[in-house]
Amino acid sequence: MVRLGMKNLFQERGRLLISIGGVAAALVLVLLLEGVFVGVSQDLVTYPERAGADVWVMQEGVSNMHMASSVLPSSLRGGVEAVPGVRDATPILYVSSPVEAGERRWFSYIVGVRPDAAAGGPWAMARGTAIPGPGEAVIPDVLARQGGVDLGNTVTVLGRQFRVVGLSMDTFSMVNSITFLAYDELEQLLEAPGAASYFLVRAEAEAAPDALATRIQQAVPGVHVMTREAFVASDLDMSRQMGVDLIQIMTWIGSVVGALVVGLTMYTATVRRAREYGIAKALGAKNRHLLAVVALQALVVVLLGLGTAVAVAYLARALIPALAPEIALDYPVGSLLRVSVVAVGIAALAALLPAYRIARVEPGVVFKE
Amino acid sequence: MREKHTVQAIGLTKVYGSGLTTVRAVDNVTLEVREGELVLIMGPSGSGKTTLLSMLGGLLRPTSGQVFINGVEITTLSESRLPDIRAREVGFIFQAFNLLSSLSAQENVLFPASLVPGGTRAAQERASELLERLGLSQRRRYLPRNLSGGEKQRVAVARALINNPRLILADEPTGNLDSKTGHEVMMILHDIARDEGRTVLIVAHDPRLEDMADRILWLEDGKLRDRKEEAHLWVQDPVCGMKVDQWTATLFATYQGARQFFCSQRCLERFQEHPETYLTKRGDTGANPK
Repeated sequence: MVRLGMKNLFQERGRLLISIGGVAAALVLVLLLEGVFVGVSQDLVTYPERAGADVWVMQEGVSNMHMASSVLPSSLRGGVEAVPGVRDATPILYVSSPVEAGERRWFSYIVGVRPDAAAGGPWAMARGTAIPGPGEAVIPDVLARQGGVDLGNTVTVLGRQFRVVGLSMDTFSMVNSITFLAYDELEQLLEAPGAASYFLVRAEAEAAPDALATRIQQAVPGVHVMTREAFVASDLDMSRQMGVDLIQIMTWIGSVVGALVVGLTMYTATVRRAREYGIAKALGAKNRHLLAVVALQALVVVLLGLGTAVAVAYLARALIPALAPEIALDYPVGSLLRVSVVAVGIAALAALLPAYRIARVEPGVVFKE
Repeated sequence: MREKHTVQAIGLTKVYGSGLTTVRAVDNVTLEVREGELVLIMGPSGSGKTTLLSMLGGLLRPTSGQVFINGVEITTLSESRLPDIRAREVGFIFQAFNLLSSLSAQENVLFPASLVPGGTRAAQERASELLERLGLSQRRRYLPRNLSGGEKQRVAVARALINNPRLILADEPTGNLDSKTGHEVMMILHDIARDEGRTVLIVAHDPRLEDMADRILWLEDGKLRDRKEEAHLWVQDPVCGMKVDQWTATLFATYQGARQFFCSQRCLERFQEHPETYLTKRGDTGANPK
């Protein structure tokens, strides 16, 4: 029966390719959406991941950066740096605001950095200066390209114009970008003299971040201290929570579309071969034999569709940085497993319709011409 | 007594429809066929031959009556057990060959064996032997679409024999074959009954098959009876005047209560257009016995 199922399936190559293509399209949709979401989430935590801090110090009650606000007195710096194991503590100012370049606007993290900042500035430069002075801004190179600005041109941040003096790399995505201004200037713009948003703590070589965070928490009152890993995880968690419902909806839509494509294709093939199933029944095949054939066919189609979808998704991940650098794609193992489970579910659903048809095929069709 | 018969039917009846539209396709048929016997069931179109064969093979449930195959009553078996009987106890041969189009000749022959636990491995050698014996060893890898009609029917015969059933049921096995190929297939069926002691039950129109049968049964209007001693009952085609054997004629029409038989579709159509013309012309008012 396995042989019959496979030969029937591969005999009609056109229909097989349509089925595989349909499943692949539906699953690619699910994979890409989740991949983009995970990639975007990953982009959102690029700054806390790459700003150079081992430990983050923030206002009590705050535990992330994305869509958050933290205000601390900058005078706490001495107290933080006095904790054993702290190499240095760099204050940054941070606010979320659009950046305007030409006719376009981008959502951006606006980060104020001091001229002597040991951490918190750009980690990779395409061109120009990394640390901006008064009236200056360092913007992402992709943003500059998209906005048609270059070094020496101006951008508008918080209602004021800044001259672009540096183009940073890996600081731009489809949902976020990072713009660096001079600390003192941002302090004035925010009308928050003597304030810091976060302290970026670098640890001495021998100091473990976990233990160091605990010591700072105990030594400095009124702050919340997190290791970089914990801070990044908290931000990721926050961004993912915001997209889970959307992902679930798209997964359902993709699953239903996939099941319909495979189910209808297989139903059509079953109807076309109804006579042959009748012959098989006349010769002694039971319904369960034929249902196994259909289920196997559905599973093979779906697995081939899944393989195609994964290949397309990874191809897209390889090509997209060159074609659309603002889009980040990432496929964690969990999402691949989830899509695989969805695929098996699609196969089961898709087999139901033809199974219903097969159960009703009469073996007596063998006597009809 | 039942054990001596490969197939036995008692009071077999199949009724379709109800009320005014009731049709008794098979009417109280009792039949016993011995081991090694080749029995031909003949009768006009619509006489119930195929319905009878379907019930004997467990493909159709009778309205009433019993069918025994090798002593087992199949009419009381559940739907889940009937396929086993069909796979193990009965070999089917059909007019339309009914090979599975995606499988090669050898795979088609092996198909019924795959329905029996452990059957395929044991049947490989037998499939090769059957294909060899039926002159198909060079065609074993061919798909049905690449086989001639005669080759397809020989594959179907091999398929019917693969599980060593004691009963072979054949529905018009020569119906789609030319006379030479049809004769070859009939000789194979004859040998199966004579040499292997299998019971072969054939439903057919073809009068050329009569010489090979051990027994000929006549089915008409759902009722079965032994064939009359006369080999043929000649009547006249009212359109062209040609002699037609009433026992085997498949083209007929009833007009004013009398049945007329025809040599061809063309004559039948011409008669149906103006029946009174032909009966008047020949001075015949429907003399052919019904």
